[in-house]
Amino acid sequence: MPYRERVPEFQAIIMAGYGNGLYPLTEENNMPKALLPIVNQPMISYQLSWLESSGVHDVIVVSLKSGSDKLGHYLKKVYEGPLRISIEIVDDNTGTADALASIKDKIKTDFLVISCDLMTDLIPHQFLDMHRSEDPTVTALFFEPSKGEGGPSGSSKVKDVTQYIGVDASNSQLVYLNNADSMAEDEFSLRISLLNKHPVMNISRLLQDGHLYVFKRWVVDLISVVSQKRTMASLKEHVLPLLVKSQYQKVLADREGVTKAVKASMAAHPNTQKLALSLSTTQPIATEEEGNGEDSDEDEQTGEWKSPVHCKAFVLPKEIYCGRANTIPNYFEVNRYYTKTTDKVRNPGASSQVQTQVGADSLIGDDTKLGERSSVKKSTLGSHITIGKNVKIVNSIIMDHAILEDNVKVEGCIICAGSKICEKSTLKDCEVGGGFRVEKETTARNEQLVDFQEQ
Amino acid sequence: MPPKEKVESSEQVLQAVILADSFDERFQPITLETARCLLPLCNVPLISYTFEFLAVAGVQEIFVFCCSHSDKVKQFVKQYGKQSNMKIHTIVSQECYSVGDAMRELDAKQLIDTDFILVTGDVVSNMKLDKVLDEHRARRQADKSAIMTMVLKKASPQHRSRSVGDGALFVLDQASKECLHYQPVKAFKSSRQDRRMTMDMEIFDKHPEVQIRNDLIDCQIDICSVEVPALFTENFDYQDIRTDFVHGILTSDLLGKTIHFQEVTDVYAARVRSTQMYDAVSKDIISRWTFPMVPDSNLQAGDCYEFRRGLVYKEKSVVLSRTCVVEEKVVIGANTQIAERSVLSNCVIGKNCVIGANVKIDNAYIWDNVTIMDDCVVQHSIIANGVVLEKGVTVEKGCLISFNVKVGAGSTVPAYSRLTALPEDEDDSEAELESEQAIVGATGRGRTFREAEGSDDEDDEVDPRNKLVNRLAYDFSALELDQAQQELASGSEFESEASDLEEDEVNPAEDLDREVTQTLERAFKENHTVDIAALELNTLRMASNSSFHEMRKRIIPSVLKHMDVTAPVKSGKAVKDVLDKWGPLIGRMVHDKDDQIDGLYILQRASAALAPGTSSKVFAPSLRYFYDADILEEDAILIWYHSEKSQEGSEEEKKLRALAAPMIAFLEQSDSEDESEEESEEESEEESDEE
Repeated sequence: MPYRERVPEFQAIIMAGYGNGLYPLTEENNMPKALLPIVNQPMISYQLSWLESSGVHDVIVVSLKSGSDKLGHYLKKVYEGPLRISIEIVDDNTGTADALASIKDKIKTDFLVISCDLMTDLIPHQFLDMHRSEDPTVTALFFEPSKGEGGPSGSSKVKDVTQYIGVDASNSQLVYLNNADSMAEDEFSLRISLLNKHPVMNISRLLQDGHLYVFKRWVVDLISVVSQKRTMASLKEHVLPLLVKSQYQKVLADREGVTKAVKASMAAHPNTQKLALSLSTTQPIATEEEGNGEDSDEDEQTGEWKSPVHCKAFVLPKEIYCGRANTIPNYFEVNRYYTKTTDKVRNPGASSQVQTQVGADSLIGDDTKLGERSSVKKSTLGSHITIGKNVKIVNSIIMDHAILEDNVKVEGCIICAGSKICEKSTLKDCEVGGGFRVEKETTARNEQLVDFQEQ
Repeated sequence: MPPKEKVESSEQVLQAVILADSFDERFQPITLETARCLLPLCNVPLISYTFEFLAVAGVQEIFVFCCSHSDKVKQFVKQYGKQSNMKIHTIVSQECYSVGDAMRELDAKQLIDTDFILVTGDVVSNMKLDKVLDEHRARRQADKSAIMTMVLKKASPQHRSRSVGDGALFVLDQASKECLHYQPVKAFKSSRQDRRMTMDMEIFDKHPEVQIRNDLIDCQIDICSVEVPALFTENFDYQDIRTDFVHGILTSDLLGKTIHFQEVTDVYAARVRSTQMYDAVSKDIISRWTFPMVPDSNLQAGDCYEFRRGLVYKEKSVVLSRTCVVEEKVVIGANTQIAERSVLSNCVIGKNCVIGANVKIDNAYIWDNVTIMDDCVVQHSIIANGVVLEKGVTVEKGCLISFNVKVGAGSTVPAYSRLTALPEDEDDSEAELESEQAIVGATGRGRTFREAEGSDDEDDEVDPRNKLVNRLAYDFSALELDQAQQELASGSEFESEASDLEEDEVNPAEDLDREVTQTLERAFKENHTVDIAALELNTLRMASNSSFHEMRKRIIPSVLKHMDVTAPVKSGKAVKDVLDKWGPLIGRMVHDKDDQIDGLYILQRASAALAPGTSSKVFAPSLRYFYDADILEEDAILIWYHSEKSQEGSEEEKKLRALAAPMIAFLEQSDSEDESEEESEEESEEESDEE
């Protein structure tokens, strides 16, 4: 098919963060989060192929300084897809909104923000079509995490803050968003005027923010305003809640610069914005304050305020898989799911091995050698791994170039690249850092085995 | 304790309980003379619709629970029972004042031994209950604690068959069909509490996904288990089945019972709860939404309506003159005569009525044996049996004219009147009716009905408008006419509505703002003494843990705003009057010198914020007053005047400062020599004249 030069519909921005929840996997001596393998493929390759199938061509990968070399290398040298990728590096300890604000000038169209740890079977156009047809300010993906089957719990007990998410059942407008920690402890409270506009509202606290958003172009101006006002401004915690509230609260919208940002973009692109507003199904809010009259805005002349903001929630149907590999248990879970469903050859070197057992729910990378009488169950093994005799691997992830000597037993572990586990060790629910050497006959449980000198 | 249960109910007789009384007074004065459930709705007594609905649902035995006018209900039921397959019993209890009392009575009598349908005597519905009953029974089989199933009908929040002001929010779990939270919604939400839906966070522990519904009409059709009456007995303070019982069960950890719901769509269900609903439901019946319960199905024995084009229903024996016009949506009962050139539209006319020539009837409900003479106009009203409107009477919208009232020739019944022919003193049967000739005319018979004092204590509404919204032909503009109430509204509601916008970020300062404003308004309006107002404000101050500065910041502007300076002349007097009364209150908030200086800044800013042109009229006299009253001392005024802060600010503020110059000059002078006060007073008055 001939390629036609055209104005791109969306730009995509992949946020390749540090992955605090994945320590010690994301230590310097292993690899950045975006490159952590999921079924022996770097995580980011999943988002890239997702974007390929969505038809988006222009991709900006925002990476933190640490790990940007490895990531840059992967994107430039290893990745072979059709996407036009540029990499932007921001300082460590930058919030997601800050990061976007810093690349503000590079964003020319409506843009898609995706986190590098989002793994989903969702077909891109299902999600994007909602944005295309309804033309909201933002469309955000929400999913209900599947229940884990157990595994290493991980050191960092970074539990996602429970969010209360209110979605209008009739038009999936995102109406309410609140974090549990910012709410009164024993009472849940909503304005009734909101319920008059949205008579059927589903409130859930099971849903999680999928960190996949499509924003209108002007939101980037708002994001830079927000990021100036705060340190560590985050999309999820600051920008999205602000947009949701601005659907109803004129005062807030004015104060926080939402109205200004819309007006500025309306001035720049009068046609599209007018269309956007006319399509908006947000019902007008009855503001009876005095003092609104000065602005000679069309809507205000009629005495009603029509919010320029309109948020949509795409709630993923339960049968479509979605997971975020943002913590160790989640990473484990995502890996397990993809190991089960992948159509890769499960054990390429099977013919050369004798008396080994590899379960059908496991996957073994190229050039990995299994010694005699070894067995692998429910696990994902990378490439170039050397496994000795009589090794038992259950429910684990072993990354490239690791060495497991004879009689090692590993259950529920993540073993990072280049580490070595000496003979007769028994590890259960452990994470072994990159290049770490586990001495022989070690018995460990629920531990993180890492080199400390780098800290 | 409930009796032992027999869950296997398919063999059992399906029972229903009708609460024939509504336990409210919305139809007074008409209900002083007959039972609520016997009011004719499209010429058929209300309770007939309920009987019909239950018969379709397969109910075999009905208990009609009645209190007021029980003899009439009994008689009607006896008559009705003759032609019905259902066994209908009446239970009479004069001691009942609420649904709760009725349920306790029911429990005491032990008449019910299985799951039953509980409805009120004013339900009009064409829904089939079989599915609801099946689901309820299945649920009961699985879980004994599911004691009740409410039938809720889906309709938009502004649906016409929704009773204004009787709405409610439901929080539901769609998976388990459980109702988790119930909250009634008022039409006018005067307090913050009214404007928010608030529920217990714990609900999320059991039900992480809930649905909040504001689009359900609650017709109070409930499938109850035998435990329900027993629970009413246990909790003897439960009165209303929704606000007390449902709420109580849902919030109680001890009882461990659950209440479920069944959502129905595409059927008709409504309750004639108020005159406004009477109007809406009548129209729905005429428009055939309630099919098969429409006039031409002749629910009542002996009726013989025929259905004609344009939603007109007419008995065979009706006599229509050649030139009368029967427009759309009209029901005309047997033996009624309508004379020349009369125009009828959107109305129901009962049996044996005589309607004269040139009469206009629109949107009205005219019951049996009514005589309307020539040239009358009747709009949007209910006119009960036996009323006589003499020649040329005009009945404006929203009137209820009770039995046998006679309105004399040429008089006009003002909008929203309620007329009765009963003597004032109800207890004294000998008492003669004193007709109010101003309304019913010289030849009339009847008086304006006044509600008994304290009649609304069952639902102690803060906002009187919440009662009015249920009235027939109610509209917002009608309420706006009510000057006193409007004032009340403009103060409290708009203020709080504005702050409502920001409510998600709960701001204690705003709370205080609102509270102070309301307290002051109350004080101004009800003319409290300064002592009382100061006490209230001090309490507020302590409750909100704020400083005197915060209080001054709010009180001074409020007091200034209270001054009526718009009057062209004598505005100085208005200012003085207000200050004489409320100045001391400000004095209570000012203690030492720093306070005084602070107060001056606030006074300066607040005056500047007033309407242009009035600020100087307020500022100078106020300053003078505070000085005279020793609230502000000389030193403080001087410090304020010379401080930089007073010289900054807007133009208006600077102008005000300049106004104080003569006084300052006087003060500085008086340090050395004592001058007479008159002079400076003249000066300051000259200043204000310049404006």
